[in-house]
Amino acid sequence: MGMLTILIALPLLGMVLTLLLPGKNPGIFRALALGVTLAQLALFLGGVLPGYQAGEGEFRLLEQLQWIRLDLGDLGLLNIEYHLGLDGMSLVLLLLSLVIFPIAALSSFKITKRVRAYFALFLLLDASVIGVFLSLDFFLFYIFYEFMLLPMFFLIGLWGGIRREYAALKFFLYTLFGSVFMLLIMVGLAFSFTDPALSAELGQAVYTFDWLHMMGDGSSGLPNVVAGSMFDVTGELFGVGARDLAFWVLFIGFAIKVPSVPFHTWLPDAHVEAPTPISVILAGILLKVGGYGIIRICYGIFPESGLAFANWVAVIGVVSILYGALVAMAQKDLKSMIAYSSVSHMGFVLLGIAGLNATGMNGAVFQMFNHGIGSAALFLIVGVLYDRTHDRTIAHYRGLWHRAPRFTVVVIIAFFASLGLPGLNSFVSEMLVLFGSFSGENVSRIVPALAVLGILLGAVYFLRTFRSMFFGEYAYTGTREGIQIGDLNAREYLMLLPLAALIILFGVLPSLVLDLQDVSVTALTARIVDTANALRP
Amino acid sequence: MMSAATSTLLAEQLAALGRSVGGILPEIVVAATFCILVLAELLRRGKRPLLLPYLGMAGLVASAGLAGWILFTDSFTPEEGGNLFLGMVREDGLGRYFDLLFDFAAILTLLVSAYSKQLRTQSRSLGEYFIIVLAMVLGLHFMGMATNLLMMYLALEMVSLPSYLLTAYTRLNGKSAEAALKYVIYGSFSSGLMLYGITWLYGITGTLNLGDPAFAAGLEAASGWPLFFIVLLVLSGFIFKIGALPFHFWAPDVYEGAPYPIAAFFSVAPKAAGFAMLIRLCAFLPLDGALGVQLTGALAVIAVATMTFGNLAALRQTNFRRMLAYSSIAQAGYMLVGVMCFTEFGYAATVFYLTVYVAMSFSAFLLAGWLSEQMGIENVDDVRGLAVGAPLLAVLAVLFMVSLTGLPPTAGFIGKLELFLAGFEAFQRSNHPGLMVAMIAMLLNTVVSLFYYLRIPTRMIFQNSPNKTPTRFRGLVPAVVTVLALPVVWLGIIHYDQLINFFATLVVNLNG
Repeated sequence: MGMLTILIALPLLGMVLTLLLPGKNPGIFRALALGVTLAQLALFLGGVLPGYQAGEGEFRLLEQLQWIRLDLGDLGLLNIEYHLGLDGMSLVLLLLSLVIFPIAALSSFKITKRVRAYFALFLLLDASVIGVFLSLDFFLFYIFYEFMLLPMFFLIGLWGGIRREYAALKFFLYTLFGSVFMLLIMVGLAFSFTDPALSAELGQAVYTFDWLHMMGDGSSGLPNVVAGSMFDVTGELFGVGARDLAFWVLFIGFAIKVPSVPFHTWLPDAHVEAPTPISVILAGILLKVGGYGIIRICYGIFPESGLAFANWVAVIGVVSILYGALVAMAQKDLKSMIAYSSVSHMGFVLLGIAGLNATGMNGAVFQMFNHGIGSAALFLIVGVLYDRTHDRTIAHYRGLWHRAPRFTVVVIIAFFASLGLPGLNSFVSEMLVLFGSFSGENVSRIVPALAVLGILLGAVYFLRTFRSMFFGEYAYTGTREGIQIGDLNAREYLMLLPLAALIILFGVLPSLVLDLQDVSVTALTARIVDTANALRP
Repeated sequence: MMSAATSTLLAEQLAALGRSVGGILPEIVVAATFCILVLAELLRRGKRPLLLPYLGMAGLVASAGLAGWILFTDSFTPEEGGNLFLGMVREDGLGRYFDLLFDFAAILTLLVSAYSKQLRTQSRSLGEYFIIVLAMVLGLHFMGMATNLLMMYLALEMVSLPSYLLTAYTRLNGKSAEAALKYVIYGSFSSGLMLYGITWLYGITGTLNLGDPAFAAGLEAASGWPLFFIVLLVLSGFIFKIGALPFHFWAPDVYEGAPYPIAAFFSVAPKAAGFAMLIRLCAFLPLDGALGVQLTGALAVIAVATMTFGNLAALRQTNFRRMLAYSSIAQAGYMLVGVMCFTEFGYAATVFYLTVYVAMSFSAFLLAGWLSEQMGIENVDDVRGLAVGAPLLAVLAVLFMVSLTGLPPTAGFIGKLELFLAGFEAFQRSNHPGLMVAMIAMLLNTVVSLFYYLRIPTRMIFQNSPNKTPTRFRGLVPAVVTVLALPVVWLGIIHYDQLINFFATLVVNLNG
């Protein structure tokens, strides 16, 4: 069993243990979840990372097992594989997930209701998220992708706020709506691509779900495509180019996940109702699945459509940046302000992708990483406040600095990182995205120019919020009585300090992450552009 | 005086009939069990209430064992190439596999019925009930085997008549009687249409025997729109049995009014038999030409209307069983997608979905029945908070509802995936827009169905119970449902490819 499989199996094992362990002491479940997530991180740092760096090729640490073979009669075989592997992009997103999960587990210590069920679902979510980033087979990816929904649905619906049921259902429906059409396209792709080696070995056409066979091969186009099939370059569906159609359908599915305007309306509801650790996972990791899917599937498999529509993708990104920022400015609730700021910051990911050059793509991946760290810190900050007062209204607080100076320092770091202060991590990735999209041949210059305005708007609402909550004389003007606002406790330090440290570390030394992804992401971008040009000269 | 030639022909035919008997052994076992039950009912004089169901189950186990043995050791009768009784029925893998499904569902039905409180209190005597179930199983067996239009009609009626009786069996319950009446009216109407269509086919081809070369030749000669409408008339009987639009009106009332083990049985067995018969008919029709295109279009319209109507209507239901009834209508629409491919792959996908559907739907109806019998819960809203006392109930509810929606990692997802693969493969062959439209409708319907399927588990888990009496999820029905949950998980993850590849071998050469 390879290391990547162990990464997925560990939380599953933890889940089974959580369900089977006797006793009602919540401490055991908490320790188990924290232990499992830390063990994953240790395995990553001790095994996966050195293994990746020692490996060669675009995808490394490959694990491949035959899983399902369907007989298609005279057509041949349909092959589904358990195929895991890592490239630079998935490595960075995996690292992000493995950093966020232990912190979310620590934050989950506040859960006191039905602890066993909570941590079982938490670990199940962990396994499926890791699986999403590791899968190289479309079918396997789809299983993990859909499987993230159920634990998330129950985590929001059971441990959430007052309107939790509504928020959970909305989250589920939006995401499911985005992904059902993926099923149809996945099936179409499987009938359009064959596995050359296996076909030769078995002496009949072997249709495949494997991404490695679906991706373009640079200048030679699509070597494994079945001529005349639906997703061949000339394929049509109802008179429209099938590949363009598939690109947009998948794009919308992932844009719901990102989320981009106008598919974002589930996010504020989900965030406001979700308990803190689930918000952290949602903003820190799950949104990245959307960006990952757009790069890996939309652009990886349909590069020429992606190139043709790059300007539209950039426009959607910029609209998200501006609209998200404007709506965030109008929020009275701190958590929904941060939720909308997520919409705004994730818009940079789309903008960077649309640049279709190494700078922009690296910026997009790095922006996902930075936003994961930053938004996790922001949602934890909201959680810290909410635990003390059960009140998130921005206008109810003044002068928190006087009561919680250390907390304020952390808030400063997180807020300033989010508004893009040089020296902190988001600055680097946002600059890369802007450079990349400015120099992108397929994006009109006005689009990234407008994005700069988004950074300005971000500064406005973060600074204004910070001023009104932390400056001045201490005052609480809300309706709750007798609240005591103290500074951070030990557990909260443990959650927030690593994030704050990482924000500074990757701001000063962005190469720590960029070096991991650069070669691979650059190669991926070159492959996308070359294939696109080969398919539509 | 009879001429010599006629008498030789007669003698030959009699000999053929005699040789055919070896091909219907499981059916003979079911028929014999039926007779034994009648005798036992006369002799038991109102004592030993459990005698009949257990005798019935024993007979069905024997029949299923025999069918399974024939299927898996390939011991089909060598006589007449399987076309028995002068082409009336055909013994082959498809029929024998469906026998397994029918017998299995019937065994569970008898078992649950034997211990059902509702049945005992709402009817006078249960003796005939078990006998009628056996008669229905015999009809189901023949539905799976029939290759002659007349035999198809007879088998259909042989299932329908017991169905009417069983629906009305709890006669002290007003809903039961009303449901039975509706069932009779729609059943007679649709079988009348079917019979009318059959007479036309006979007029065109001069034979009722699907395997007769004259049948195919006559249809080839008569192609065009009139033939299409005639085939549609014949299909109305099938559409009634699978509960698709526009002959679905009976389903909600019957599933709500019938005793709950019977509702569970009706939701799976006649539907499966209807599909078996439909697949068989399609295998004999000349579908390569215009008729195939027209029929795919017609079935696409029916499928899209059925799944959309079923799901939209289910959204508005408050009664648990009515909700499941509309859901089973919608499911029939999904399965039609596999049939309308008219490929072996499509038929195999339909058989797989049906197999999974038997486990899913049967369990869902049993759960609904158990809730109504044990807790008096008829309404979806009343399941609030049940998860607290009965976590297993909640887990099973989640599993079955997720599987009915068709999400991984359940067998329901694999069933839908199979239908898609088949639909897509057929679309690539024929470029028929109906197939693509039906698949897209199916995807959209999946999202709609999530609304009401999830309502049950979310009510159970998310909301608090108004009364504090703890639920005890123990006993026969919970055990049966738990056992049925195993394949739903297992087939969602591994080994389904072997099963599907096996089904693919069953639907090869259906018209051979």
